[in-house]
Amino acid sequence: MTAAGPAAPAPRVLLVDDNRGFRNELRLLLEDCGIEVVAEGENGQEAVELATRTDADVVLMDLRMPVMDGLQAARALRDRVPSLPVIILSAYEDPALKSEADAANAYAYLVKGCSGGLVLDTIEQAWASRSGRASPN
Amino acid sequence: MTRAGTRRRGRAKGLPLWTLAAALVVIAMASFTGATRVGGEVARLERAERLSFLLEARAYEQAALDSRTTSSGAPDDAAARRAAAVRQELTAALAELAALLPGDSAVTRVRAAAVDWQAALDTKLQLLASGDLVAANRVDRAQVAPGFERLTAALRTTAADSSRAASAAQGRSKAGSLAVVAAATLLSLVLLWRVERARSRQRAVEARAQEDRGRLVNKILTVAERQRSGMAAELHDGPIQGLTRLGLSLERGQLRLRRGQLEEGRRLLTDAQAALSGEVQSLRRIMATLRPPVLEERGLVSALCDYVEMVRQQAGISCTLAAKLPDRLPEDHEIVLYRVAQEALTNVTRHARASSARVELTETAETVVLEVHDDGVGFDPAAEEQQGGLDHFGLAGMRERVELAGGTWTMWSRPGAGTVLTASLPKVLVAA
Repeated sequence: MTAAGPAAPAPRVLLVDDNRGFRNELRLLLEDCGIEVVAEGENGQEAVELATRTDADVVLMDLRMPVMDGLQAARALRDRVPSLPVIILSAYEDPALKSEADAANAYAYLVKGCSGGLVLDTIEQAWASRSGRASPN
Repeated sequence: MTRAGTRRRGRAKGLPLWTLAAALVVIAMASFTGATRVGGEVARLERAERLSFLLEARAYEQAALDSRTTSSGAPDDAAARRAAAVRQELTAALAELAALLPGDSAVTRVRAAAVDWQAALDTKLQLLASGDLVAANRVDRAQVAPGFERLTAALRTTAADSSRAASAAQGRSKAGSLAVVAAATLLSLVLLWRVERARSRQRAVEARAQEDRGRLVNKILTVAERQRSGMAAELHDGPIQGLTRLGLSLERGQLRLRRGQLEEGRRLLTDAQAALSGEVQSLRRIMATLRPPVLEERGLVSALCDYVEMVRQQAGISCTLAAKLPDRLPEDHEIVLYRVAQEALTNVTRHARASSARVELTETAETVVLEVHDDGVGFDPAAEEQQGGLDHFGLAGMRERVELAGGTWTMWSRPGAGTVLTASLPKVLVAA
């Protein structure tokens, strides 16, 4: 797990999940590791609006959500903000869903229950790919 | 609400099959009797025709014998004996012909002509015997020869008449047979058509039954699929989210401990332990939902009692049970009613915003009735159904379950006036 120092530059994350408890816990972990959560949303529609309003570097988003699901939101973000990497964090370990996420240009597809370290590393890599610099790992 | 299955069992139109079969037998018997009668008639007429020919032949023979007697100038004993025999034969044949064709005018003419001819012949023979050849010759020309002509002419007429009558009878017989064959064929076709129609109806009934079975199986599969889907959603929203969150919490605790923040690390671990207990409880609840042990062991009333108590504790609303059911129900009926109550109370706690709910289980002479009342916000069922929202509350699944068990399901609700769900199943009690 990477724990960024206070002075080091860190990615700004937009966190989207309809489960408030899970979202809080993930935000606390990210913040503990020096990653700033710039905004939180409860569904895909909020994700698209917040992505265009905030200066997030990475979107960390659930798949199954009310109003607009994560795949629809990923497609909308691909069209509107193509440079913004989207990481899907889903409870479903399903190759078909992963393929759809790939088709929607998602940066990565993580399954809930994976280690926090993997989530943090993936965020770092996505951020690095976006800013065009080498990954710290 | 179930629709009463009132498929009309119509009576077969037209004559019953046994009537048609009896008609066929009657026609066959009539045909046999008619053929026998006509056969007898034809045989009689043909015999009359043959007798006519025989008589004509014997008449010629007798005429010849008489000539032999006269040409020798002396009596010919052998010819006289043969002539006497022929005369007897002629008499017997005439009697038989009269018996075969009683009251027939031609036969009457034959008999009269025969009598006249025989009399003239006797006169001629007597004149010959007395030596009066001139008188005998005169009688022969004036009476015997014309009498013979009349007799043979009358016999030919009789033979021709009999032949015509026999042909006509055969013709009638043929026409009658054709008519009988036509009628029998027609009746057989009707019989076959009726049998085929009955078979076709039977096939249609079987096809409908097959379709009904197919629909039922599809319904059962749909209900099962919906239940699996609901269970997957419950696992996704409950234990998976909770355990994932717990994992993140433990990682935070680990991080704190690594950083030397012992107090904060211990607090996170304690919280995680409590959260883990909660998740185990949650999984136990799901397990109990899948198959509550109390339902099998102690029956529907006890299971409902436990479930109502759980709703009261967890949802914080007043929830009561009034159950009057002295005996156990069949296992599948208990499960259906338990699931309906469970789904209804889940709706009450999730959507109704009710302060109280009441579950009632009563029995009538023929049914067991479960009612779930709540004093929540209610809704407009017609409007909800138009928006396809009833299924969202699991109502369609509830109704399908009840109807598959042979019961009826109804719902009443009004905005601001709560909701009442009623499930009735046919009463089939089993020993406790």
